[in-house]
Amino acid sequence: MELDRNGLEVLDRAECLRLVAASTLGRLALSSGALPLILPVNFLLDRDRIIVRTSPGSKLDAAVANAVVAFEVDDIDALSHSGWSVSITGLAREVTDPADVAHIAALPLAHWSHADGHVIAISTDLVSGRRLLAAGQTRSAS
Amino acid sequence: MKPVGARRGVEHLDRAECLRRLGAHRVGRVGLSVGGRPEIFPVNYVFDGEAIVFRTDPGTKLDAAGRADVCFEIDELDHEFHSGWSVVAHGRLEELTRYLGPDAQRGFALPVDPWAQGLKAHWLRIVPGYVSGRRIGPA
Repeated sequence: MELDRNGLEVLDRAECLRLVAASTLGRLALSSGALPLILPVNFLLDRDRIIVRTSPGSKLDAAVANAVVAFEVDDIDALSHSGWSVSITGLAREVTDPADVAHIAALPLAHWSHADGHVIAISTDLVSGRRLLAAGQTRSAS
Repeated sequence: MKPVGARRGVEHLDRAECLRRLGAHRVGRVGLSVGGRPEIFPVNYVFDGEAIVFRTDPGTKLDAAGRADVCFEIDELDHEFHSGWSVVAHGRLEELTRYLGPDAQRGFALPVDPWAQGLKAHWLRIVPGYVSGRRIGPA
């Protein structure tokens, strides 16, 4: 097990994407008006890209500009002080190809408040993850 | 309960409610731009009503201290019921030092115990300026 300087277990890309694939809620960070903004979003991992459905607004503005965004997924337990987080940096693009839109429409992607939105795909160019084990806890053989 | 997936309104939380939720939470995410590229860091923190305080080691967050406008996000979202809330606070990321005066010194007294290993000798704070929050779905 590789540890970083903070004693956190370093997760490789495959493990990161496995954790991300099992999650449905992430946080998207983008620059909005030159300031960073974080928005919680429902998402789906489709092959090696993050799919987000959105209504016109800041997320979309960033996406159609082919902006570099950060996407983060975590599961951190405040009681045991343990958990993991995965950070992804990639390019956000609106999906417009009809075949691709149809493919994504068939995926079980939940949306919370808007069904009439656009579909955004975020590439997973940079993926890094860390796992924080509770004191005394050892890595299970899962 | 309203049907899942139906279009529902988003309720905006006022500043007092946002700050109350900041005070009740312990894990949040710092968003900052590094070379024009957004990054997110989850941190454990304490909010004492004035400042969001967390600890760090030398690195990206400390490098940004003092010259970066950052955002800080907390949320509690229930995927099953499509409900939840999120709060985002904007402010300047600053390192707490002995020279900042009594209000900053108070930060050192907060019970900010890092969950990860490492010295985490640097204390950072974000004094919330613009704060926004929203709630969606059943309360």
